[in-house]
Amino acid sequence: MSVAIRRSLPLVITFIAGLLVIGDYYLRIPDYNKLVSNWMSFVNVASSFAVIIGYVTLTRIHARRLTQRKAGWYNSAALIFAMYGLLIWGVFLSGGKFTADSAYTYWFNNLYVPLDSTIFSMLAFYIVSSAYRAFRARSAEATVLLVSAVIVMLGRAPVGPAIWPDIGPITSWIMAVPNTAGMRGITIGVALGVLSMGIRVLLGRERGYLGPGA
Amino acid sequence: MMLATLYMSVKGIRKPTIRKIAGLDAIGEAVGRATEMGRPVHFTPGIAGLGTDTGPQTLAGLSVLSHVAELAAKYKTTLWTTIRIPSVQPLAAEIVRQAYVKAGAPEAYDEDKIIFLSDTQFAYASGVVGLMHREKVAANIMIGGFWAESLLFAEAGYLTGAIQIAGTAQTSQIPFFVAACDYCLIGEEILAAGAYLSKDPVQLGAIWGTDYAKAIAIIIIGVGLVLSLAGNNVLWKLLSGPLWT
Repeated sequence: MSVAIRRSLPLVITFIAGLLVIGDYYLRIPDYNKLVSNWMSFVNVASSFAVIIGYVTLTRIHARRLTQRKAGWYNSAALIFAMYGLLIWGVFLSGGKFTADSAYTYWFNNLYVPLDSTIFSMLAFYIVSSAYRAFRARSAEATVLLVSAVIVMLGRAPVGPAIWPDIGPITSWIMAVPNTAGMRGITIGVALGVLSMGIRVLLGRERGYLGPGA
Repeated sequence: MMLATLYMSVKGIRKPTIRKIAGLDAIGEAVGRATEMGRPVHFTPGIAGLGTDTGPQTLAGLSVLSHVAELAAKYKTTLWTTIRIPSVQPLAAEIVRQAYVKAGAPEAYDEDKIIFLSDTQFAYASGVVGLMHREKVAANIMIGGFWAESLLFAEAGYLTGAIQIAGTAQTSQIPFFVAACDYCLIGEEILAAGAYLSKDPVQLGAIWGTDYAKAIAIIIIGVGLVLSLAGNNVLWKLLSGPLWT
């Protein structure tokens, strides 16, 4: 395959696929809509195969770390054991139940879910840490942030209304008016930016995702 | 409108300029600092899938990755790219490979540095945080779609002393990035990154068109507001689609 075809083929496929999907939103032609629906299913199936690439990458990196006894090699061993252990159990040893098998769900619910929740719960501490740095009144904008954040925090915590009953409505106003207005401004900007980017991708002019010089 | 501005830009009828975006200008500084310190750079294009409505954010992130990888190759700095979406892995790997080839250092390309960690949000997050601590990254660049893991990454970067550049169009996560990072691209700025970095007249034309589209959107919002208050929903119906049945 020549270099020119290799470069232009993805762009042509992108253009045709993009037009197909956009047309599906505006047109109500049953056969056409069904075709696009099947096309989207194909995309989902094709994307699923990318998981194999992920498996291969992880295996290669961690197997190398394991065989070369690099620092933390035992973590790589645990990863490979857990990854392939659950894969083999879910696909081959579950008696056709796959991920619904009780042994599989036991390990998932009692090992993975608590770990996942632990990582998520760390957010609370990180929020305090970053809020402390952000809320220092170094400028007029930071002072506005500090004052509004203190009002909202007090208004949302039980102690706020206990001290001053009117803080609840003030908090609601801050969230519903200036905060929502700002967020919607950003959202409209993003929507138009996505539209602009969509046109550039469809026309093959946004090629950064294909690499430099594409 | 966008096609018209795009045409005018390509034909040179008018050369649009784009305002300075400090976060994108700082990428060179961040990679340079990492080079001076002899420590690696970390990049993540976020956790948004390509086939979703947040997919353009990942594409925007990959456009920036292209630029970051070129700089890393030029300065001979290690670049770690962490991936959550499996289908993004080959794209990112090819982008980084091409960047090293373009910089004349194909031998420095290491495919093991573009690492898929997990397709599960917090497993991926813990992998990224662990990598940032182990490798002691000096620059942390996060451009794409982020959700609850945004602050985990930003705080991990802060703890390693990294210069941090972040950008997302997720309105719920922008405050975290603003609070915790040195530079933050807000909303549509990440979608303009490709045009800003490449200076391609076609891309700049499309950005120029976006500004006109914004003006039109503001007018439509105003008209829609007046019509809604008058009890008329013609405009709402017109914009809801489908146009033909």
